[in-house]
Amino acid sequence: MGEVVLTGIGLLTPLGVDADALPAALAAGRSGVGLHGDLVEGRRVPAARVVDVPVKEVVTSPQLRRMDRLGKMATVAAGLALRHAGLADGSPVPPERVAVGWATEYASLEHTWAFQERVRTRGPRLANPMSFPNLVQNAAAGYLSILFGLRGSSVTFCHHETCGLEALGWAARQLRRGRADVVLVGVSEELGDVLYRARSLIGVEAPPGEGAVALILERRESARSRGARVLATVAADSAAAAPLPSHWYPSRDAAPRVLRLALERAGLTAADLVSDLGRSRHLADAVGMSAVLPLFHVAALATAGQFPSACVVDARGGAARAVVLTDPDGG
Amino acid sequence: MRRVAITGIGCITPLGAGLDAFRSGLEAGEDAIAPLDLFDTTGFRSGMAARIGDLPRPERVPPATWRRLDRCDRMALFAVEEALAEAGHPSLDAAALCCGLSTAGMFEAEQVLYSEPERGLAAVGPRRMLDAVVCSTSDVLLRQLGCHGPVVTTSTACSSAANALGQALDLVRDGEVEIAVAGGADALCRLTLAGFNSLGVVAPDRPRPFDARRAGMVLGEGAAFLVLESEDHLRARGAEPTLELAGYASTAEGHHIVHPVASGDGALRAMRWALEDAGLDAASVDHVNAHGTATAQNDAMEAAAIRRLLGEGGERVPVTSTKSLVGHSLGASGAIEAVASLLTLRHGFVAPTAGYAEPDPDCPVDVVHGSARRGSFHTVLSNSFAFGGNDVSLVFRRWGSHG
Repeated sequence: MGEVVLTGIGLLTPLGVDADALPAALAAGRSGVGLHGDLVEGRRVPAARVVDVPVKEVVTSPQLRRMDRLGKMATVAAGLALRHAGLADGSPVPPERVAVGWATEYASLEHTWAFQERVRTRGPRLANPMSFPNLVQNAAAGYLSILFGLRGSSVTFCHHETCGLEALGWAARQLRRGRADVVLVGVSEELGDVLYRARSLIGVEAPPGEGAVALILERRESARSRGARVLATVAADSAAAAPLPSHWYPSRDAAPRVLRLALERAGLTAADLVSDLGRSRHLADAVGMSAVLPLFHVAALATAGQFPSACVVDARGGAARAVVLTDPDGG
Repeated sequence: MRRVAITGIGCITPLGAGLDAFRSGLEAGEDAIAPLDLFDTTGFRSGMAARIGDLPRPERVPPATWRRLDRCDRMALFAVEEALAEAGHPSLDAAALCCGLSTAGMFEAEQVLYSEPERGLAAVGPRRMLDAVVCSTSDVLLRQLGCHGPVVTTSTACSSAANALGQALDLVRDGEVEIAVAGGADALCRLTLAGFNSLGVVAPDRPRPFDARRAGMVLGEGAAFLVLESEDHLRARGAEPTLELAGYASTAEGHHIVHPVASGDGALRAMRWALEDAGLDAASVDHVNAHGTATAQNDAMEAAAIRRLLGEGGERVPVTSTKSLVGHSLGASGAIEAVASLLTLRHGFVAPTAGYAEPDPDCPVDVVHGSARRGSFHTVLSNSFAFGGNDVSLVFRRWGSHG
């Protein structure tokens, strides 16, 4: 059905929102990690937080009043990606042909437990009906479809750190199957004290992070016909698992397998890769560890023009995914 | 295009543990709705629900493992093991695992929170927090089954499991895998009961889908899983296909985070696209297993969409709401209703919609009620609609059906 290409990037990370400035920021060793006093009582701890969520610069809508911070982060990234791809205003693509594949590992974890505490301490009759709908994992995808008028297929993926690449793989399939002409694919994650505490059990390798990344994917011929700038070719993706006796740690067996499989599908070998930063400390140190990291990595590779390149993620529990990017012409 | 057979079905619902209990309950039109005794419901507008009583340990799951699992994990494992037994325990080494989930171990985390009220959230340790994360049940299944194929966890509220089945269909159809285990599970908890109560969409006594007196849903819980196989794979191991997952579509309404678009445009799009995906037209549909929550808005919207889909003669296509018997099991409901649809195809009956007595002119569909309707059914549409405006339809067929 044609090659899948990347035509838009929207970022909201601890390094800011400027996707084009990203390679320079990474090369200069800039980091979004700072010390924060609201995550652990009585201590300032390192974390990569998003300082500003400039949602009103992206969209104005009464819906914003209902949304929590996570939804707003997703909205900023999505709005910037649509704008970057030239699809923000007067899009030639019918709304029913624009799909949304979104991802989040923890969704509104902070608000979920705040809701629980309110019910426990004040009684169920004082549960907040405005916040409950935001607690479902697909709330962000729902808001994006409302705010940007997107009525194509839509699924939200939640499998640990692989969720972003789950959504990306799904997006590629929608395009190859002809179910959509454009797919908005992305991931959003919010860090608060509840998640910080939960993550402390996992033994993270870098400070925890948060943010949102959105990508616009389409078929090459569609992108060409509307004169869109192609940033990268999504040459192949793959998924596999190596089940573990414990689900607290990732498998080191599945990652090489998914990389090999994705490379085979792309007609490449590991020797062809100019970059393989799947679990790069460099990236994690810049934006923190979270489920946002893999798509941030994809965005970074595309923006830096590093091709052919691969992003590999191995999640807690044994699932792994990979994606291979080649240059905008598909070479 | 490769066809995808359903070779194993397993479920646990408030009607009992296992497919036989579900079938007999559906055929008899029994409902499992009662005052909830899983936790204290004092202060809730409605404390009615459909809960699972006995949760038997499958033989292949060691007692030590079983003891460590949350209710949601146990339900999922029970359903998966039953589905695998029906499928003849095929090798899952290269299989995909697709799970639609929503609250996972939230009930157990709440138990800790409520048992040490003086400590507040500090009582819920990191491990419990993480066990309440959606995909923790996928981890449990992955570990038990030993699949080495893709792992997918979808979470789209009430359409989670329907989307998971759709992902499995695509993976098998595209040749990514030959076999997949897919479905969903969800357990009752305070979070969802409080949430739906706060929205004023929970009935004080029982759900009455499509009835003029309907006053809302009643929550339920359960799990259902299917084994999906490519035709080639199935025949290679000497079996004959009998049931098929033929089509799937999901769509975004883009209208409101909670309320469905009244015209039914989103639901109609999902049903039309699912039929297109199956290579069928609306005339092929001889039964609709409705989302049928019994809320005022959903049922009127869904009935309008069904009639628009089916056109002339659509008033004669039987519609039922499985939720009237087993409650609304949220993330699991799409899979449980998939199993109800498959029982319709396999055994030739549509379960009655409990609580339906007074037709609503705003719901002009043929609601099966009173007793099960017998017949020969070939193609069933199953709907699952969710918060966020996520509408999903699945098309199930008897393998030999044409047209």
